[in-house]
Amino acid sequence: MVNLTSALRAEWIKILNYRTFWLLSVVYAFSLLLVLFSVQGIINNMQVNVNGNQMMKLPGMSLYTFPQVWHNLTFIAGYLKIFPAFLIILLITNEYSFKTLRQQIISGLDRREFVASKLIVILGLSSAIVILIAFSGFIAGLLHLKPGNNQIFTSSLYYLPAHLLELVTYFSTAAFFGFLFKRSGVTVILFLIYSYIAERILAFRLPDSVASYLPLHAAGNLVPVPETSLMNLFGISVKQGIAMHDIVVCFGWLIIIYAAIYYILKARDL
Amino acid sequence: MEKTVLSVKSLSKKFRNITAISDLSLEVEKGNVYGILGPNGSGKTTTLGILLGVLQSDTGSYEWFGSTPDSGALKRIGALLESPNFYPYLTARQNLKIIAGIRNADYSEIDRVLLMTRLFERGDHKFQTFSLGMKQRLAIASALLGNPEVLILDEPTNGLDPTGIAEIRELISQVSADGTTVILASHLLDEVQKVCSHVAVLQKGKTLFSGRVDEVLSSSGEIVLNSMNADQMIRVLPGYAEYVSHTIRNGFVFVKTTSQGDPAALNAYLFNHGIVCTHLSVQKKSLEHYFLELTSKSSEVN
Repeated sequence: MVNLTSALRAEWIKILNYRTFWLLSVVYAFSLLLVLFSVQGIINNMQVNVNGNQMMKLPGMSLYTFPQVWHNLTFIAGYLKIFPAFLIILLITNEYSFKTLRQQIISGLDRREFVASKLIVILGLSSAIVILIAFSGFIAGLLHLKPGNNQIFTSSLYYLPAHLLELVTYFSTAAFFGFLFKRSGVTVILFLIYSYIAERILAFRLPDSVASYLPLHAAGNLVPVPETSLMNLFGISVKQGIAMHDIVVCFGWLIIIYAAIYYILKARDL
Repeated sequence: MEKTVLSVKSLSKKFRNITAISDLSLEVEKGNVYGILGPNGSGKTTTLGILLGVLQSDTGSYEWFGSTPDSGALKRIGALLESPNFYPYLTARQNLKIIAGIRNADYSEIDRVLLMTRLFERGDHKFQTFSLGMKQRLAIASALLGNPEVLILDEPTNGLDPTGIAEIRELISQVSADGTTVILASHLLDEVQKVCSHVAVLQKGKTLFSGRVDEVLSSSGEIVLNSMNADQMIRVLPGYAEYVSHTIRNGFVFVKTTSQGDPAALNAYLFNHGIVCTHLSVQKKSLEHYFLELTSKSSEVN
């Protein structure tokens, strides 16, 4: 019998009293807000070298008007997702370094309950981040209302659930690394190498059609680069909207990842 | 009602090239206090790890409560395996809440087990501030949550002071008096002899002996005799069916018999041969003696 309520209550006790977790979470939340609200100022004060040595100020732009604000903020937030991923890695590898996973299995915890409770923690953390972004977007949008702008603010809201899926896929991959390598230091380093170097080299080498199936690549593609006046200036055109392909690939990876985690727990000595 | 609580059939496990246990079988019945005795590295913890579902065996099988085990069976077993493992940053109470949740035990039980293990006053202190003895007691407290039918204790008196050791023994006899089956792994012969009703002796992953503790003691004992006509007695002794050997020390004759040897039968045999004993007693060997005998025998074979 799967007893999720008690597994979740256990996760809550573990997280609620874990000072390191909250400390890092607060630092992350502040950095996220700082970045979200300072990017526009940085871009608008940036000067680019257009022709020869002629410096030119970029055309003023607003990241925060409805409805683009949802797309812009979720895209920017995507660059910071490595920090909460460290929190997930810590929560997983702690169970190995404290040997509490072993203790809980001995006490009668079902391995499926354990995996499910970690998935729910990932869903919870991802949701909290998306809610924070949504609040920021809502407030930023209200502060940058343009008179005569008839766009309804909800029209691009789908970027929020897309970012949620991006985070869940990313954190789940991090969790898989945690289960595989067990020790926090090793896992953090290998996950950094994988996400910033290995998968990118792979994506660069492989034809696009194949690279789009890589897990972090697909997760990153969910919220594409926003089309801004900056892009227009450089004459870059980017795809808009969310591709069904990326959604399917992410869900596919989630199934594979959690099956693999369960297999690791089942087959390996604790 | 089920009588056999645990049945283990020819379990084997290797860690790389080292054989941790080989072809190990044992049966534990309800209400037993079952000792698993063996020196360090004899496979006690490995065996228990397999039985508790955290290690995979290479071959063999085991059953808890007459069926193939799952996490449901483990909820009926309270276990302390090796070192106590808890979240260092959580208090004793918070750690016990996590275990209570897994075992479907009411939070109200937490006070009871803290009192039983004399940790009540330290319930709201963090695990990382505990001494080794307190950590050990907290592990026993968590094993007692949910009123387990079987209590497994792996070296439970490790790191405890003499008072702590006496308390743990008292606790074991308390829970076993309530009908709980206890499986106790230990390298301390004295501990097993004092506490257990049954014992399996392990060495290098093999069972050297398993059975009742008092059987071990009687079978390994010697019968001490004396008589007015000792010389004649010594002559007829080898005729006794269960005779193995004898020695003479301090004017007494020490007779070694097979495990079927019985002082009453020996007395009757001697009497039939016209010998009247002036002294007849049974000297029980300590389990320690027996254990050393067993383990040295098997190392000779090796």
